[in-house]
Amino acid sequence: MTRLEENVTETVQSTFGRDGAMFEGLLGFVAQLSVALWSLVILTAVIRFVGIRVYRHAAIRRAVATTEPAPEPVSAPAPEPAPAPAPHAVVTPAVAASMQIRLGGPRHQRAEPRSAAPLPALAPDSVEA
Amino acid sequence: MDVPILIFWLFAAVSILYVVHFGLYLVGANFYDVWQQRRKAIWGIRFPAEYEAECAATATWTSRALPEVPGLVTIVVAAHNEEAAIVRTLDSIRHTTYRSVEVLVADDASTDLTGRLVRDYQVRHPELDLRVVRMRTNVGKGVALNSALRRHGRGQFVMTLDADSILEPDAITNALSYFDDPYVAGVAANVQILADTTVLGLLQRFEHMIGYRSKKLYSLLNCEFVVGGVASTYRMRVLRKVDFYDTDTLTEDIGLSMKITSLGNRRFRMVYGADVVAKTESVLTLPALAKQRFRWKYGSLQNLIKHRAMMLNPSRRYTGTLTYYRMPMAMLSEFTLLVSPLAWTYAVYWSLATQTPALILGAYATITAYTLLTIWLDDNMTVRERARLSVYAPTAYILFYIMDLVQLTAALRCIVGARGLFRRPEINTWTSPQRAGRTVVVARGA
Repeated sequence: MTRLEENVTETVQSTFGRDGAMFEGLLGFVAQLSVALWSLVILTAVIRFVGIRVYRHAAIRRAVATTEPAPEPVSAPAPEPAPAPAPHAVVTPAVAASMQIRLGGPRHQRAEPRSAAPLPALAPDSVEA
Repeated sequence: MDVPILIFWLFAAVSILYVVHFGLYLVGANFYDVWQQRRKAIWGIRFPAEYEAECAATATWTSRALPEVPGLVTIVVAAHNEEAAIVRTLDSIRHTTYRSVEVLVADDASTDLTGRLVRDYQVRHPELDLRVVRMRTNVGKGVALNSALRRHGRGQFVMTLDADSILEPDAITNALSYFDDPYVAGVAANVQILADTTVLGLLQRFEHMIGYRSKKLYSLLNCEFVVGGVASTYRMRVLRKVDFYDTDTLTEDIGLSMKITSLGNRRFRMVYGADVVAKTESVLTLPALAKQRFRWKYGSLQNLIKHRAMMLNPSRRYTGTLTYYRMPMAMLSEFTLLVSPLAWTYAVYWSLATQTPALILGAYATITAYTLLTIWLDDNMTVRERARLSVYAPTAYILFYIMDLVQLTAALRCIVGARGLFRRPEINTWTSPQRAGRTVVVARGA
């Protein structure tokens, strides 16, 4: 009887002791991981504020540059007028590549020059073509 | 099998996974904000080169359609018995800064004054290109939207809107700016809760804020595939290519975005637009919230199962972040939800047994700090609003626990109805939830 009681007691102690150690180990690991991640978050938050500031200033500078009128030439002879480009004309580079085109108009009215017109409305394999 | 050890490792895995995820969400959101500012600074339309494969901007389709009007945005509003909210929604559309819009109200056989109110609005505001497409019988949201878009949609872009939601004035202009990228097929909006004066309202407000913040990371990694139905914007040609909405799942909006993503998310991208702000009403009661979450969860699972081929797919059409990270995580999170309350109870028990309250306190501090950071770094809120929500932030932990239980209930209901996840019948009816605006109408009439 005495031996049996001792066995039961030892089993319970070892089980709880083992789980307790594992639990505390996990807790320590998660705490370290949290600290590392929070450090990363704070670092990226600083990068965020700096990045936003830089790009905001760049946007303001660009906006100011586009709104300021160009200085008038004082005594220079009038240059030959260049041929006016056709509306929505796109100068395609010799080598085909993706290109970026800045819209001149306000952003509340938008029309992509190449929206639907140059592309077929029906695919070549259309059964309704 | 040693069950306590199994539970321990399950708990350990879930804990580490969620801690790492929280960190990634915050880091990703910070970089997204920088990207957003950069995008605004150097915007401009980029066209695909002639030799490039088909992408969102050059998508083709195989059925007859109305010719697109360049720059026109078709706003389609699905409505079924929405007399309390429809006028407010139309007002918000009328006040947007983008002028080239047409509005289609897909009235799905409403039995109240919805149709009459819309027709009255047409007469009072002839400057707004507003049309009602009325279904003879209640055919379901997906079918109603499909019908309106197929027959009457002429826009180059489509914005979907729920009848209980409102748009911020610059939402459409901001949404269209994302389509400067030819690979962008759809833009998810930043949906906020309209009134958060109740506990449930506050819970949904916090949930939306944190949920949408996680989209910043997904958008940055190009692995977003969940785009809701409120103020989502798509290219019309992409919708024509995928033949609009499927009607065999409970969440037709997620179904549509997943269907587009399945074309290949390198050339048909879904992005999150933090500056595309729309507001929607919160659910008013706990049973209604449970019902809504069940519908969302069931629909999400249906779509994940339907598009399971994308998961772990090595094809070059998809990014690795989508197939090896986002989609497995989306599936896994549905299952971790089932063990989350169990694991948490286990953690509380062990914290008490071993007299180490650090875990509970640490988790509480982490969630509170996460909520506060989300509030403070939100660019779409006033200082007053931030201060107000910051006061409530310490309650976020308890609120999320309530939401966990609601989600668990929804998950268990999904398991009970598991058969419908695989054998999906056509959805042909829908009911409008109780609106806050409805109380106002009754009060006025009284």
